[in-house]
This record gives sequence, C-alpha cells and structure tokens, in this order.
Amino acid sequence: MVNNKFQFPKCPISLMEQMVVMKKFFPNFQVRWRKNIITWIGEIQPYELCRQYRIKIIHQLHRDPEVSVLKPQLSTGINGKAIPHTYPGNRLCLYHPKKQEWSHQMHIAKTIVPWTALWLFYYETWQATGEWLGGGEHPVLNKRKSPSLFNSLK
Amino acid sequence: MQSVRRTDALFLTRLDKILENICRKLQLTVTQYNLAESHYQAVGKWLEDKSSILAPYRPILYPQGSLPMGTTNKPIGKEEYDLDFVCELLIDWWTICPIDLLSKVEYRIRQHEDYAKRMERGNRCIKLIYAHDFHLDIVPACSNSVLGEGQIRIPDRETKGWKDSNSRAYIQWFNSEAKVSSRNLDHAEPLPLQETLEQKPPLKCAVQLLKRHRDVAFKNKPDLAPASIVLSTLAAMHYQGQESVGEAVAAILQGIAITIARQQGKRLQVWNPVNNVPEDLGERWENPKAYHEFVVWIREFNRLWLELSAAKGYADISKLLVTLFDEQPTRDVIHDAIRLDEQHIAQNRVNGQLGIKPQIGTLTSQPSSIVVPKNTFYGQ
Repeated sequence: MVNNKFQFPKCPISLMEQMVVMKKFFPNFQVRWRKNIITWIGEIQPYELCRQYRIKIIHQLHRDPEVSVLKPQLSTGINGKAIPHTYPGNRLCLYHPKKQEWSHQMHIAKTIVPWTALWLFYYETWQATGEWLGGGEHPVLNKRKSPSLFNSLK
Repeated sequence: MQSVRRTDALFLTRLDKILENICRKLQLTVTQYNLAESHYQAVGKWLEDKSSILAPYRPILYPQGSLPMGTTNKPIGKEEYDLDFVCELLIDWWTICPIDLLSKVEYRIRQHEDYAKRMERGNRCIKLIYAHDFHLDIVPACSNSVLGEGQIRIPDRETKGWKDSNSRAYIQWFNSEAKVSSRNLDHAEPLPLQETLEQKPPLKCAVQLLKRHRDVAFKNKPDLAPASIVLSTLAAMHYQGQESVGEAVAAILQGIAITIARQQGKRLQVWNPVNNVPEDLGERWENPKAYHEFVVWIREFNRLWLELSAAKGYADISKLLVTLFDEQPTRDVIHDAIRLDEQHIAQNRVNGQLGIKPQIGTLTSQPSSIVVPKNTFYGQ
C-alpha cells in the first residue's frame, strides 16, 4: 500500500542555482562561494527618492539567509528610537519564520532581495517621519519559552 | 549603466515635483487669489468712477510685479502677501509734483469708508491692508508715452522725485524669456488667471525658489537682500529653456556665478531690459556690503544646489531643502511626498502588483520580472 499522505521532502534549491539566478537578475552583485556558504554584496536603490544601499546576503543550505546593510550604516531613528524589525547585529527581519513565507525552495533573488528593497524603503521613510508603515509583527519574548530568536535562527 | 541613468532621470523628475509643490505652497491659494481679484476690481472701480477726483485723468488700475509674472511668494515672518498695482493717470508729470500725485490718489481712497480704515502710506504707494491675506499696494503713476509705450513715472515720497518704470513691458519681456505667450496687458481687467503648477513655466518656479532662498538667507539682514526685480531679471537672462525646475535653477545660479567672476571684483550692473531710460536695477549694491553679501549668497546657493542634485535619500533631501527654503513649507511638502510614495507602494503590495527592477533593485508598479512576494516583517 502506498501511503498517499506521505510526501517526499522537497529538495532545496542548490547553491549553484541560487547563484545563477542571482547573476541573471543582479549581475552587478559581487559573489563569493566558500565552504558551501555564498556571500553576495551589491547595491540597490529601494525607490526613486531613496539613497543607494550596499547590502550583504549570506546564504547556506539548511540555514535562513542573513541580510545586513554595509553602507550606509543603519542608525536609530528620530529621538534615538531603535530600528524596527531587526535581529541583533542589525540583521533584517524580512519574513515571519513561522508563516512559511520563505523556504529553501525559493530563489533568494526573487524573495530576499525584493523584501530587502521593501524593508529599506520603509526604513528610510521611518527615518524621516518616525513612523514604520511597512506593517509586520513583533515577537513576544518569553524568557522561559523562547530564550532567543536569534540563537534559534543561527 | 543605462538603468542607473534611468533611475537618475526618475530622481530628477521626483525632485522637480517636490520643488513645484514648494512653489505651490508659497503662492497665493485659489481662495486668496479670487479674493485679491475681487478687491482689485472693486478698488479699480472706485478709482475710475465718474465721481472720482481722478476721473479727468482717466485712471487705469493694473497689476505689476510678481502677481502678473506668476512669481508671488508668501513673505517670511508675516502673514500677508504684497500685491502691487499701478494706478496710471493721463497726466503730464511735469505739471504735478510727486507728493501731490500721491495725495490725490490717497484722497480718493480715503473717501471710501472701508478703504480709509485699511489705508497706510508707503514710500511710493498707498497700501490697503487686508489682514491675514495680503496688502494691495497701489502705486500712482503718470503716463510718459513720450519715451515709449507703457513708460510711466512713479512718485517717490522720500526723495520728492520721480522714478521711471515700464512694468507692462517688463512683464512681456519676462514672459517671452519664460517661453510663454505674453498676454496683452492693454486692458486692466481681469487679473490673468493664476497658472497651476502644471502650466507654470520652469523659469517662474525658479524665480519663486530664488526669492524664497533670498528671504531665508537674508531674514536677519533684509536691508542687504537683493531686490526681487534683480533676481527675476538675472534669472530670465541666464535661463536657457530647461524643462526641469531643478535644472533651470542650476543653470541660473551657474550663469550668475560666472558673470560675477568675469567682473573681477567690479560690481555687477543689471540693466532694466525694457526701460527706455537706462536704469541699473542693482542700485542697492551701491552699498559695497550689500554687493558682497549678494556674491557670498550666490556662491553658497550654488554649492547647496549642486549638493541637492547629488543628494540621495529622503533624509538628505529634506535636510537640504529645509536649509534652502525653511521649515515651512518644506516639511509639509516632504511629508506629503513620502505619504504618497507609501500609499502607492502599499496599494501595489496588497494587489500583488509590486515588483522590483532587476539590476538596481528599485520597487516599481510597472510589470517586472520580479514580483515582491507577500511577507511579514518580523523581529524587534
């Protein structure tokens, strides 16, 4: 009997394919592939009046991609407000880990990069107005149940 | 590289929109404009009425200065706009002394109960104060057609002398430099319709911005500020038909800076382009301090404008524009622009029509090979 409910786990997109697709859409991104970790560094301009940002994306299989901004350095907002939707180390929180908005079957170029552009657009308008209008959720940190989101993602 | 240039063109278009909106906030509102028009018509009728002591001189009232040029700006530190009108009388200037001419017009205005309460004397005009809205400055003038069409002489209370002027010809000249067809100003009424920003030629917006930054930079030393007519004339002389307001201002500032440099320290002379009597509009620069301040101001303005053209990001653009044009109306205009962008992005994001442009990673509502998937920003 074949168990109809059983599904083979989907294969993650290979690092090579991620690299090829990224090269196709963002040919100016510099890429480095070492020890099965890909690092892309490139510049994007989130919107017409926005400035350019140099971003860094680190990707490896079975880990969530990490996105950070190299230039300009992210800074606190009006009256020293902390930057919203970031993990420690100012890494960007681009999607909800439990909502399966991102999986290893998705291309970084078509998910992580557009979300980074969107995040940076809202970051810049937040810097100017003090209001974050990009929506999102903040984790309820309970020390007993979930000691550190950052550690769980590492 | 091509895509990067396209983004820059988009940036300039967006910056132009912000500059135009600053001009919109500086000019009279439609309500104020209509109110000014009705007061102007009423005063005109009062002065021209058959019972008026001015009637034998067939007075005509017509607007002059920034109002018909479309370059009116709200002044800094006071609520009311200054709107100038000429009350031209068919009277030979040598048959009347300047103070008598001012007194005749003043006498007629004082006969009106409401105008009498609003009236104040100016050096070359009679002012009607409409609190919170504007001052109507009525400048009496004698026709001086011997010297050419439209030529007038204006009385000066302080010097008890006359000043030559030809505001109609000046407006025609300015409008032709702005590459718009000039309206025939032979008849006084009605006021020309106020141009919307979409219709307003870039030169006129550029003049508004020049005057605004002048008002900001000379806020604490207004006596040393360059006159509006000097700025309008220099702007029209150096304007090269740019379609972008930002590029028009850049060309004007560079043109003025080069002209100043060519003078090698000698004072710049700005000749009235239409007066049949040679007139140096920069008479205020007889005071060397005033000229020095002007030179320093142009140099700094030019530097700030170059910085603005290269600025990226809402925060940098906002900071520079506030330095140039003051907190208000700049903050409101920037916030409006941001709100509009956010609405645009939010709407397209909800509809699944938000994409990003490959290579440069710029969000767009145009069909794109990368559509931004649904996401929820997370984390602290």
